Amino acid sequence: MKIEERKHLKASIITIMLISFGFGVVLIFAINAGLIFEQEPEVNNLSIEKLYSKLPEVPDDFLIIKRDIETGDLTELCKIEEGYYKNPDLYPTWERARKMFYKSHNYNRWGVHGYGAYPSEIGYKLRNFKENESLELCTFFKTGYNIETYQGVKLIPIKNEFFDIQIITQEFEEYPNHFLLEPTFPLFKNEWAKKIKLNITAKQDIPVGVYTLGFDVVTPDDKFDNIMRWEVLMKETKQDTEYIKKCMKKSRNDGLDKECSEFMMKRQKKYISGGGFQTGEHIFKLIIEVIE
Amino acid sequence: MNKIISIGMLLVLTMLALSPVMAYDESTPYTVTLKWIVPADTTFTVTLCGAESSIDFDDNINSNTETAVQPDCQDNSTSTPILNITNAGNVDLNFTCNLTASKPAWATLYVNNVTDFSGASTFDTTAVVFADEIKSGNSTEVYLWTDISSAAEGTTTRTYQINSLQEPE
Repeated sequence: MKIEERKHLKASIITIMLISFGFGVVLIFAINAGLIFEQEPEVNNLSIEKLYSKLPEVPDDFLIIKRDIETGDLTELCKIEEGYYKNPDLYPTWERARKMFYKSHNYNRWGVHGYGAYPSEIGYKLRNFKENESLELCTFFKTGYNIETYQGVKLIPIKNEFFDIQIITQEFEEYPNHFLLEPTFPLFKNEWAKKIKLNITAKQDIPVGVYTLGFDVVTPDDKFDNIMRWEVLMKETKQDTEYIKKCMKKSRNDGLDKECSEFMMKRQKKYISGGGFQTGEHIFKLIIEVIE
Repeated sequence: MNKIISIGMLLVLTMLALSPVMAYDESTPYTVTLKWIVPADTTFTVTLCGAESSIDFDDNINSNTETAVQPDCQDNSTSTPILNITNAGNVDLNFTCNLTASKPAWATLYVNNVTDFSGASTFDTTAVVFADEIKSGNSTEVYLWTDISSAAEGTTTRTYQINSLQEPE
């Protein structure tokens, strides 16, 4: 090879290597910045920031607390503040629901009823549980995903001959055990999730055995319904143009895009008397095993 | 020669910069203990079609004696059920439905989880299973119909109740 040709070859090799190196740096940077192979910065074109915009700030140790709740290592749920339990990411069913209802939303239907408790079952093993002794525990009671209504509900404690169970958490002084569940679509309102504290008291010395307590959801009192219906109607009316635009885009193929404005107005500020859908199991179940 | 070695080293460094760091190989496998904890969650979501918030047999009734009347918004021909129930929890469920008070004598109510009216079950105050083994994350549709015979004028209401039962293990 002639000297000139060798010089050109070297220059070409160096140039190719520099370009490859530079490209590699840019590629690594882009992947780490989430610009490529991105994990969905938006949900149904609604950013997570907007979806959670009405919720409390996420605590720094959120993932640690979540981990310990999921593994059952953390059972003192009464100490969990709202920054944790009002974040949908706390709940193991959220990730699937996000894909099901939010990433690809069917605007031809709307979520009217739905709620649940998490954890929906807690167990205690006790020894020597005597008359008048008590314990306190908490669970998180929440609106279902994709719900656009305000649901009024009443929680009914499940008692038996051995135990009294009292719902300590109260939202409305004049209406014991009544709660208003706020919507979770198109975004999560602040009162979509509540921490429900219960007090369990032994009515007598408890014999060895297994006992099931908890609470269920029933329809609220009529007076509560009437008051809440009015309160919800008095909330601010918004022309949600974003809702209409997305609805029209999704509904065009079904020929229902013309209905979207009407849907948006009819679905806003809707109060529903909840409790019409019963779970065969208690919505929250507490199993107490008393041993020798 | 030094230049070639330098270029070669630069090439090697470039390759390393683009490659993931491999800390383990066949002789030193990485193991971890896995534990599954699935706290129970029996949450469900019920959607209605259009902007309906209740089940009304209204728009499709033209006389006081009719058969297979669909509630407002439901449309068999486009597979649009009045209700769609999603098991949004992590426990498999069966669903039943019933009225909380007896239906009027002039009405018969039917339920099915498909568009087929001929295969629908009648129901009143006794719970009827209309969907079983709805797995966690799955949905079931609810189609309702009514026959009316010399129906009374005016508005008659009943509470329609849907129950979910945990699948026996």
